[in-house]
Amino acid sequence: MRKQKDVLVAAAGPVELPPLTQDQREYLKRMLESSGKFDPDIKVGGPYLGLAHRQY
Amino acid sequence: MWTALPIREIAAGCRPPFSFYFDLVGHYWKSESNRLPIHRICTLARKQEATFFTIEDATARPSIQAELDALNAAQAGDGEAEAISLSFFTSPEWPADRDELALADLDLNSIEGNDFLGQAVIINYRRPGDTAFALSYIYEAVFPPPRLPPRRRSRNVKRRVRRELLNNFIYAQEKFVCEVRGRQFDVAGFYYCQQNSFTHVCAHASLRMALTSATNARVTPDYVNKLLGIAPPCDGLGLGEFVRVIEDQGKCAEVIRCQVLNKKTKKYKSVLSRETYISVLASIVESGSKALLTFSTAKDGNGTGASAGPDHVVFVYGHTRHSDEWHPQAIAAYAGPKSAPYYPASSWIDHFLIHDDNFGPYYTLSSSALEFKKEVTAHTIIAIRDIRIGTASQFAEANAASQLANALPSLAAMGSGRWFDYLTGGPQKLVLRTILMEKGKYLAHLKRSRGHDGTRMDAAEIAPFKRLPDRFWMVEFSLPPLFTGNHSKLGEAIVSVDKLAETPDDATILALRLPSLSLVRDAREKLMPHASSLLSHVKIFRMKPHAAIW
Repeated sequence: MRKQKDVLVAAAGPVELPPLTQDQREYLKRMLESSGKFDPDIKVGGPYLGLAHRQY
Repeated sequence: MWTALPIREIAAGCRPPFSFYFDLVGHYWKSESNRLPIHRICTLARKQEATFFTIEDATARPSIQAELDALNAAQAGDGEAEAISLSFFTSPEWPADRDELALADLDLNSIEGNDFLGQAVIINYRRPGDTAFALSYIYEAVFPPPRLPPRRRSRNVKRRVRRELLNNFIYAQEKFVCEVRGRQFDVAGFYYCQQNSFTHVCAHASLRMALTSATNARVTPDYVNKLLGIAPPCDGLGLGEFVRVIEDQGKCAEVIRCQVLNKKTKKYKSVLSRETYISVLASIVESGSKALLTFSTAKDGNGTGASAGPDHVVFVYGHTRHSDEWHPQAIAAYAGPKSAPYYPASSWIDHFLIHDDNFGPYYTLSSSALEFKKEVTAHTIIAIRDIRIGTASQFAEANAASQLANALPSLAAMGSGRWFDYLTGGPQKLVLRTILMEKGKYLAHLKRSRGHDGTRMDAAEIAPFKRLPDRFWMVEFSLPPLFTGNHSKLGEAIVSVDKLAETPDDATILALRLPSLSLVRDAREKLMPHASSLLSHVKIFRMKPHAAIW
């Protein structure tokens, strides 16, 4: 029974996925653009941020 | 050359009425520097029912000598310093009526390894000619993730089982060895350190925490400064410098912008929604990698200034998950059908596990924490990975969501079973969870997986997946009741990590696995169908098993 099902599935041949819609493509393009490029000069950290030393 | 000040080495009981506030912090933290991290360490010790601590002179350690040499070199003249190694224990062997004894008189061999809670090294530094100490900071600390104290106090070590915190997920800890008077204690956890605000700042601290926790090579502030050609006093590192340090340590850095800066207006604009950047952060830690998260601060650091201060950065390595969260489904339902095409699995992540060098180790950062104040908002995520990837997790997840929405109904005639029929019979709002996966681990996961109904894939059905590349994005898909109740999934979309030359199409989907059906690209790059004997949902993939899950 299982082998029969395998044969039936394989006989279906290659599967073509439905094409993306225009909205989907544009959303994916935005996701692609959010990664990779960055400004290397943006500074992180500096002198101690002035938290109250004796908060407790 | 700086002068080492003498330290009296002792072991001291710390059960109540002992005061960590006055008798430990008040005694061993000798300057007006930020003492929040040492308070945090004492808080963790108290919560885990520490019974005693030891004080040991650490100035002879090579790493401490190098740190003090660098600090001293940046001063005018030679100062004085002490380095205190502070270790906490929860052993019942400490007698309740004993206050203190000389460290040399403590029998450390009678202490069980599991009773060691962790170790921190405090540096106190006095500038030349000063009577008061100018600087105090935690040079380094190694503690395992906090655990619940045993239900019963017992001298029988087998009964003193300390339990994981509920729903705390940590996937890749590093192993460290701490020494107390020559006795070694093994610790699996994450390295913590505090900036001294002079020769190193939060940028150095976050890189040290993340890289030491990823490689076990002790990354020192002096190494960072020499690599980047920085002379103290330090005023922060650029994002490009972060990448340089990470890559010099043999890792790959991926920089994801949550906001971008307009250099003319000096204003930031959001490029990733909260849901998306939380999903990115979740994907990084669930894939077993580490992350650095930068966010804006106000100029005066007290949250009242309108002008921007320097970004701060924290180290992220784990998360909690609350399976009873109301908002992932309810907000989407009340907001309307177009509010979100799918549920990111990270919607159920309520906190991330972090170290903040200004506040201490093992804090939890709410997934909404950077949405409360306009002065404190997420700017950048830096993923620290083993490999370079061409496409980001947010793309893989969005791609899988689109392809599944389009493809599932079209596959209806190709499979069987009630779960397959349910998935392909009409539009579904799926839960998606994105993990950077190795092929070997994926194949092993398929082999181990057992369906809720007992079904499983056999070796011949798993074989087509051997054609997959060595690394790929695995986007698991599920339904909310399965994800939250069974911690299970219905299948995966396998998405390429390769950089895309142009607009995405379905070529980026390398495979789809559903109940009863698998689609895998063959040598001609065609998606070929294969029957599968696995007909039901299976447990989601975890890099590491966790016991305490609700």
